[in-house]
Amino acid sequence: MSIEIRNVGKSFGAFQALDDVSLDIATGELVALLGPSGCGKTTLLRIIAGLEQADTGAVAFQGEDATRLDVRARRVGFVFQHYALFRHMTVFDNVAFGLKVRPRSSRLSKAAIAERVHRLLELVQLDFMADRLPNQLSGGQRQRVALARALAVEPRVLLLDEPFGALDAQVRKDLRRWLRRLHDELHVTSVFVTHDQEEAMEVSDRVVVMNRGRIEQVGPPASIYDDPVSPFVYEFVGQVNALRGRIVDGRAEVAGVRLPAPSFRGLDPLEAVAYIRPHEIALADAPGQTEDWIAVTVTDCTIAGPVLRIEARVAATGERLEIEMPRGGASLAPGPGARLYARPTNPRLFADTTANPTGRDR
Amino acid sequence: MTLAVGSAARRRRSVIPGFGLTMGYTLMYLSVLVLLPFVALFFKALELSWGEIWAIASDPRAVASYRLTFTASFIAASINLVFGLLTAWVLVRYPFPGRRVVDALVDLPFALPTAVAGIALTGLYATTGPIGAWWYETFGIRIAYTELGVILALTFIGLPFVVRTVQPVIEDLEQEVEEAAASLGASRLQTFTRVLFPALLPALLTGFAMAFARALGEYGSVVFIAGNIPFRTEITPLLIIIKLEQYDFAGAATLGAVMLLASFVLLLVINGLQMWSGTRGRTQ
Repeated sequence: MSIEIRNVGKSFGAFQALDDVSLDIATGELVALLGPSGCGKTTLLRIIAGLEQADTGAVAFQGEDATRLDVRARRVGFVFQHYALFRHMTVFDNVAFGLKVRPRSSRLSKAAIAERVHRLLELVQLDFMADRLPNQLSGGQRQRVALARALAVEPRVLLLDEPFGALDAQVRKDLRRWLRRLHDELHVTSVFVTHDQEEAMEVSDRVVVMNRGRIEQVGPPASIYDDPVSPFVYEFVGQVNALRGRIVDGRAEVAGVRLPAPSFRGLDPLEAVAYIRPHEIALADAPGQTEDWIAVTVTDCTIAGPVLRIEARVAATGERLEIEMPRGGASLAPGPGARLYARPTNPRLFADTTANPTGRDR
Repeated sequence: MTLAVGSAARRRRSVIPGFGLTMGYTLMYLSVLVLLPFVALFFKALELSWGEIWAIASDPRAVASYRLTFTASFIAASINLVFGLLTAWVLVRYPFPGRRVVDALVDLPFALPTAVAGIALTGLYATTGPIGAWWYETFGIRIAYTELGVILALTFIGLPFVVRTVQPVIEDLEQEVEEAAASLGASRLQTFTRVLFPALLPALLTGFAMAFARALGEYGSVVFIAGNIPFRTEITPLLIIIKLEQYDFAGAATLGAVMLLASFVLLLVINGLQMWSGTRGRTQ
């Protein structure tokens, strides 16, 4: 079941939670809404579910308008961060709930309900827990029960609000892999909210990065990481160095070197920031032929498993530069004080919006 | 049994040290404050012969007073069950100006001397009072000096119990649980009867039991509004006072013992209900 979100806006008092958000989610897709807290991701999810009403705009399922449809009629499965299980009911009754509350005319027989519940509990590997109460289960188990409960009503879309947010690191890791496998098995259109970029990258087909009620970027995990369209995405997804400089004559003067900036020709002079991923930096003892070798002084060097993490200071400006490289590549670790030359292999320039009130970039 | 308890206590380190000491204190405290007066009550009653006890306990006037006391208390507690739940719900779920004032009002029946409440209620609901007069003209029914008046007074003094026992439980209910039920297709009514009500039931029963027990023993507020017409609006505590005023201590103790036994049995039943409602989720 595809989901179309058209120009949705929502505010709570003076706070603009969503500002003209549009998004298409294809049938069978697993999409992550990623962003810092307060960016509107949960509000968007709740509007899709019908738990919240949009002030403006529309939501449609498979082309059919659902904006004013009540949550009861939307047939969505919703999984809450804190499980929201019915405490006085057994695991079995929790999962069976959605089937038991149907009007008599469309309700399954008792035996059919029992069969489906047991099949779902097998799917989430909790069939042996059917008679337990929620408070006798671990966090991960409770969340699996919540998922089985949401799936029991055969939802058209599955919506998960920070589903692993309340769990500890190891359980979280296991569960997200498990969710990915489950999705590959069921192919139900799914949207989940997270503030953990690693989680979004690992689980989803497509990541929607949100900031201050707007969508910053939509794309497959790899493109979000490799090709961020804004400084916000750069800084939110993965580690990045930000070096301030100035664009003159189609070239950026950053950290005492010149980086090519052909796309800015005609807009300069302009204050700009160069974003450089720590692992997209080449190191050498002497500068190469090109004019983009930055002279740096190593301040610290640590070995983190398979990677070598070097902290350095740019000689010309004193800015901090983080460099990461596979340990196999470097025969020896440079000690503090070593003078080296660093060349950004894939820098990206953005106009410095704090310095340029017009906010132009590229 | 004691051995098992002792070893269990030794294994688990508790914040309050000395299981033996605290347990001993608890038993002592309960004995002196609760058990001892009860025993004294029975002994006082036993100064009479069994025949005399039976004669006093089964006196038609006394039996009429039992009936009124228990039915009026039961009705009052039931009214409080419904409206106490409603009040608690409104106080927890809806922010409105003056909520704190309303919240404080709930405790007023606790704080007010009950005789004052009785006089105030009588003043309002007697056929000469503003509400009572209007009610009598409109419906032709008297409130003060009838069974209705008794129920009214008992409802008044029982109000805080249900509200105060249910309120924290409602505060504890996550709104997400209601949203979960709605997303699974449950109607509002189904969400209430299947999700919220079972979660509130133990607290409701506790509140009911407390309001009921309080109403059984209430004297001050009732005597003013009841009119104390023998066989009609006399409550048992009043009969006990009458006997005391006639220096018939044994007779008063007899009636007291009857009340005590009946209350105890009723509270046991309610406790049983509570346990049943607490464990019901497990059996399916």
